[in-house]
Amino acid sequence: MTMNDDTPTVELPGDVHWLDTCFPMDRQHHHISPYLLDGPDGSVLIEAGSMVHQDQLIERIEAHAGPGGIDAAILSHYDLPHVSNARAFRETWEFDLYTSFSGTSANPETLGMGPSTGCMHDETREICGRTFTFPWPPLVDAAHTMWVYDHDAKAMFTGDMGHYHESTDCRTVVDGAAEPVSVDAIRAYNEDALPFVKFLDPEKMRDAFAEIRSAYDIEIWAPVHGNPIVGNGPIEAYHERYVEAIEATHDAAWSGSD
Amino acid sequence: MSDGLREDPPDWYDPDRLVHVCNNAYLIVGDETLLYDTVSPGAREQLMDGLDEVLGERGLDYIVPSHPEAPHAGNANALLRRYPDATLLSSAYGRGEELYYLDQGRHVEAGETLDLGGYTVEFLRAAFPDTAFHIWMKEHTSNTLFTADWMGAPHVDGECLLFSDELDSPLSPAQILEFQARALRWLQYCDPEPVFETIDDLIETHDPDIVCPAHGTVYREDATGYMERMKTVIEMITTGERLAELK
Repeated sequence: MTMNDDTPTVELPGDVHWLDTCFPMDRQHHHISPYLLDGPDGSVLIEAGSMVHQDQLIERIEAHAGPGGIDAAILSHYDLPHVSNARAFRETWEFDLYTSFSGTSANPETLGMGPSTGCMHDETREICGRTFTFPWPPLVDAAHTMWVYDHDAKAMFTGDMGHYHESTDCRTVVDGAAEPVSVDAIRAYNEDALPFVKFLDPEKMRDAFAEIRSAYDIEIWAPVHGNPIVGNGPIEAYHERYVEAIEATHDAAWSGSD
Repeated sequence: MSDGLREDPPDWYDPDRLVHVCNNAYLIVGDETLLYDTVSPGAREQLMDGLDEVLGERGLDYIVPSHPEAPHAGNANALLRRYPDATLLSSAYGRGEELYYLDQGRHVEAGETLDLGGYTVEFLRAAFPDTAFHIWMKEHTSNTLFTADWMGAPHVDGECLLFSDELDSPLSPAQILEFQARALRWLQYCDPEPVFETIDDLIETHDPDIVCPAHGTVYREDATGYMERMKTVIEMITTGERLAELK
């Protein structure tokens, strides 16, 4: 599904709205895209996006949620492209902030984001009338990263695991009708953003992805750094391509093939 | 600490002493001065006081965040305000530097050297990174390797600012694992052989006398022995259970 209109968000199943915002590079584009969820008790923002999109995000969130903005935000980790708007958003709207329990020498208050509620891995919480669990992620850069699973939409929000996209696919939702994400788009993203991927064992990653699909009923795979994938089949196919991309990087690094 | 450690405490763990994890920056003072890493904003005052004490009226010439996470780059802007003539040097290895405010500095690549007058630093591609824009460094005069998140380890109350060889009990692979498995979560899913090869290559290429991690005590005796022992740490991580969050 490709949307070329100028609606403030791209609609996904289960009252999940994709705030598609991407960063153009030489040939491909790089998503840094939060998600907005409508709950019975308010709007929940997953991730805060990049500072280059700050004004645009405030405008689009208010266009969807009204001038009062969001009621809660959940941040997967404290990397700048994920949190750099948190302070500006808090100066704009009043909302509750939920973050990963850090255990590191950084925490949201120290970083100027104000008070927050720390969430533990595998913990389940009600936020704005929706139910969230924070799974252990199998692919992260920052150690304290948590993924976010929304039980209502069966959506898994995946922090840094992602892929690039072509300039024609900025608003594309990858479902059964859309072209699948290519191995090359995943590999190019990984090699830029996750420089440790060359060390990963592809089979361990295949098992890890299967384990998370087994533990959670997932209908929407929602990366911050990529187009969302909708449907069990496309999600499983995406994971298989992700493993292929990891394998290609691993083999190129250690066996001299490409 | 995790509940598992409390229930089955290893030799190095003393329930009466708090466990600490370092957040280190390293200052090299030659004719010019360079700060590798900037520590967390939570330690900003301590960092600035320390720099005042060592530098006095001298300026800071170079600021090098090892990578753009808050505990490593979180004081870069504050330092640039305090030392407006300083040059920010950041890793060339990543895309989208604007997203990290890294476009305001100069990018350095592996092999580039900087003569500080009395000390010479060489920038190295980080062998074991987590994020993009990661850079390691070697100082040639002292033969010191600066390894960011690699080779960090916890210590206990009363051991702050000691060297690894001065700790009450020698650093064991199990103690190093407590930090390393949590800091580089990808190690749990790694293929150990390329990691071992990379460790061998680091030892052969650099043979450092001193290893300075950002999150652990400095190794100034048997540094390469500890690098070898990281293979045991990796074996333990890849065959063991995932460690819970520190709390």
